[in-house]
Amino acid sequence: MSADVYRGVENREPILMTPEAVEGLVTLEEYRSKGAGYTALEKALKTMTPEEVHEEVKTSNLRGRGGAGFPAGVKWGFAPKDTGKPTYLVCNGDEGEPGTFKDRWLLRQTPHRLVEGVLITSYAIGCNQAFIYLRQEFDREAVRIRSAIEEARESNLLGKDILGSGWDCEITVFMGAGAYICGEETALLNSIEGKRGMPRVRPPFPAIVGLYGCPTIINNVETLSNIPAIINNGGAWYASYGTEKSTGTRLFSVSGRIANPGVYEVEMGVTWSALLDDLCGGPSREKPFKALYPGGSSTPILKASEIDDVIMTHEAAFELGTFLGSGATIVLDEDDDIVDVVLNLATFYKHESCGQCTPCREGCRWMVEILQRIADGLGTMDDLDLLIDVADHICGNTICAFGDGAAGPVATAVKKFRSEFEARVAVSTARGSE
Amino acid sequence: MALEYSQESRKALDSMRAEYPELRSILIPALKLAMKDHGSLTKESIELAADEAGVSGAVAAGVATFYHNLHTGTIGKHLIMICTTISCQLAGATDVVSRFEELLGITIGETTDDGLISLLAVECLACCGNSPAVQVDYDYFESFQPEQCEAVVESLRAGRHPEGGAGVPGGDPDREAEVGA
Repeated sequence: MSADVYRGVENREPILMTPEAVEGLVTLEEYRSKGAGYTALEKALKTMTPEEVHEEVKTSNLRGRGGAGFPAGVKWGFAPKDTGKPTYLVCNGDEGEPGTFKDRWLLRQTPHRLVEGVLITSYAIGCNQAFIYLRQEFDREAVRIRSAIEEARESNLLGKDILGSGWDCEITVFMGAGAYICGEETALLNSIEGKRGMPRVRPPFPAIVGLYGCPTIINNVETLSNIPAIINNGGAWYASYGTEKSTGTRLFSVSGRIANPGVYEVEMGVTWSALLDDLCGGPSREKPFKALYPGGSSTPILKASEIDDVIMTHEAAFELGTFLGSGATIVLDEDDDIVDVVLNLATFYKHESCGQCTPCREGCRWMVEILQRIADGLGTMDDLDLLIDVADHICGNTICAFGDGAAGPVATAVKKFRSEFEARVAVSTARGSE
Repeated sequence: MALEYSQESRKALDSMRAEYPELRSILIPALKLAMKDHGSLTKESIELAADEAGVSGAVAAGVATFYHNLHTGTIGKHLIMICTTISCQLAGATDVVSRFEELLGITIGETTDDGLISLLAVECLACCGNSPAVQVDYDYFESFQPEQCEAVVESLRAGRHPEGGAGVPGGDPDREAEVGA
């Protein structure tokens, strides 16, 4: 990993990808000596009430880094107190959105920081048992997280009467078994409960009725990894990074036709060009960029021309009709065939649909069928409108966001790159009339 | 005779039980251990896991068929999983698939006749920056090139975990080889 992984609007220090973290803060000793390890937990337990911790996170306006971008502090506030039931915290480490690999970086480089973030958050929401859900493919990363948990336990940072505070907290690592949909928070809860990973109907929201029917807060790995710095430096300090509504920094996973792919931390509000051209070195094949998925394959595609001078914030992405999602930027250049790319991703969604809702289960299959015949040179012009029609019937008609994530990008690609789809169809029409 | 867990798996399940408020939560781990002890999941081994987690065989079968890494069909002792989702596809995953197919004499999705190796195309492995990504027995092999396929196959045939995996972060390479999925 190159050293210039961070880019701020002004001359500010990185929050997550500090030089020490880039090198690796793997053991407790490393995290303590070079990463201010567990000083935030100690500060929270010894000098702050849970409410004060919650207040700092609200002030920071830290928004969820898993995809939806919902303010973490507001989410924490939805969990009712005094229900007589336990409250659970679940860390979502089921990173699977195509293009996303920043949580794996955090798990490998700074496992203790995640454990500390989970503990501080548990303290704030009144949780005594937290779960870290990791996709099964993070097998080796899980070894490291489990070691971190054991090291923390040996130093009384986890378990009973943590640092003499009288507060107990356990962390259990739960390994998935291969299912993209389990990154959806209610599907994830079902998976921990030993069920098929199918999303639940909301309401009730998991903050009220979550794991084992109890109040449950679910936060992403990156979201929780930011908590120690927020507690050490204050919510106002964190909010001084970025813009008013999109505070802080974000990790972007950049892949595709890019000279230097990798994980980059950028302050919210820098331009796309600062990330893609300055940090990532521009296109990898000396061909101009054609398009990009800004925040993962579930976020509608942008033409390269749409991001000229645009800054990276939730609001700016929304204005372009897309999202920052999980911060997974997949770049395509002029030589990439949009039809082939969309077919690859549609196949992914067909494979990963849980099958619960008819529009998604059937629609994802139909989209692949139609795209396949277009790719095979057997499509018709009517197929293009049919594709958009199928996609439109999935969007908004399913109980979770998977349907929109599968269909929106297909419809957007056909609308924005219609001439490329038409060219594939024209080839087949010409062949048919030979 | 009814199937049983190995002593090692039994120990793992016993210590796991205390970690969850509801017994049912150990169903997925129980299915994985049944697979580890008895190969791909059968009606009998699914029942074994079901009894362990206190659910019916039908419920356990529903779970066993939902998750991609719980295998109910033929599955080899070792897994080579090649990511074929977009970033890896752009980086040449198809060439990696072809080379493995050639070396193993099977097509993607199949298992070698001796039951040693299964070759699987999988969805995004969260390693898109170093694509194409391959996992061998759940260890990452990043920026994987077709020229590396032969060494991987040779190692597995010789009973060794291949060199060059990402392993456990900061971990002892000797210990890493013992890590199971």
